[in-house]
Amino acid sequence: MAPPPWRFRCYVSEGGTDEIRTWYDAQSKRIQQKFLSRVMALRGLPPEEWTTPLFRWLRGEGQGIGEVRFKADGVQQRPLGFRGPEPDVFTLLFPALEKNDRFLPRNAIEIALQLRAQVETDKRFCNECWLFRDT
Amino acid sequence: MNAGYSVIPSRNFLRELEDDERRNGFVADHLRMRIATLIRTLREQRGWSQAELGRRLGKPQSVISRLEDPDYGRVSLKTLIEVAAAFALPLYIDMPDWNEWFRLMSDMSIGNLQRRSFDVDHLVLLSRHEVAPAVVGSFTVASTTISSGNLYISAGAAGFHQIGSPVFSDLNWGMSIGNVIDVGSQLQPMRLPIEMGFSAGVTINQPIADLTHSNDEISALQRTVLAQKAKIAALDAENTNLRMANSRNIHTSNLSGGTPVSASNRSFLEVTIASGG
Repeated sequence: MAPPPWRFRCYVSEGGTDEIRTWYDAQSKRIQQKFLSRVMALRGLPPEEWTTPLFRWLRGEGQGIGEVRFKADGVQQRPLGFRGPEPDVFTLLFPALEKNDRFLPRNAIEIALQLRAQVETDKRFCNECWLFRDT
Repeated sequence: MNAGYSVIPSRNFLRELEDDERRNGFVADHLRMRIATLIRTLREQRGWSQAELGRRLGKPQSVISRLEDPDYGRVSLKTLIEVAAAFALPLYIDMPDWNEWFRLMSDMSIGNLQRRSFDVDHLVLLSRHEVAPAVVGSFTVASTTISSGNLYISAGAAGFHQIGSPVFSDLNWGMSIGNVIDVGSQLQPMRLPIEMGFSAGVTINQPIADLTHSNDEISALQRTVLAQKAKIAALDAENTNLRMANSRNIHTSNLSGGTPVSASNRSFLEVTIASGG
């Protein structure tokens, strides 16, 4: 029996746009299929097994931010998120990329931290991930 | 974490998979990810470095590193057979129904991917405790009742046996093994092996006649049963790594007809019933 799943939430901007879904819809099918595969895999893993190569917690200035890791279309995709605002939730915040061991955009961590602060202040800045809703 | 969920993803997730290209890519990626995670888990379970596994396969460490990369998509069947052989494990490939695929793929946790290498002693032990209750001569006790001085055992399936040799089988099932005897007349001090892990839809009440248990003896027996139930619980805890190949979702009741026990946590115990005669 698989372990109980994590719940995924997605960052919602002030205008009410689900930014992760907007990003997803704009991607190629190769990126989409890998994203689906990775979130499905992570969903069933215990927290201590959210590790490379599927996932990595950042250190230093990005402490508390984690990256979903996969390569598609020749690019290292790094959707960033954090564990919260509830204990069993991982909230996807911002779809970064990685090139030559650096994030694109360069200030991806800073953006993610700002978005996390927003979500932690007001849960209306995140929605249950549409992929795991029935409607 | 929220309890109780379906391994089949939500409707929205499934809608994403309605697109053939996206679905096929999703399946391929998930399979690659599972293979990579499986190889890494099995290697680490054995305490091997990538170089060590490479040595056993006659391949450089860099090849193992690629095999453990979920984004590497060029693993051949030949390589998989060789890797499985290096772990002394069998390889199994199937094209299951979707619900089964989601079930199989939903848990990539380390605990779910660890495997035991080929081990004759272990397999023999498992075979003794394998389901087919009538064949192995064990039985499942659904409940015990006492009536008019007789001990009634409601057996869900299969038979009793004395130590080592089956002496009775559940004739209602049309199975006959070993030396079938009249339980009523020949059941003397005997040990009742109880195999947890299966159940039958039919309950029979077979009186074990001519047993004259005193109340004290019955109380002692009940205490033994309770003690053995505690043992079962302990064994269940120990056996979490004893993942049976048989994943059928069948259950049994314990001696008091209580909580069902998962088939994957079968335990084995013996209860001694001494005749008062």
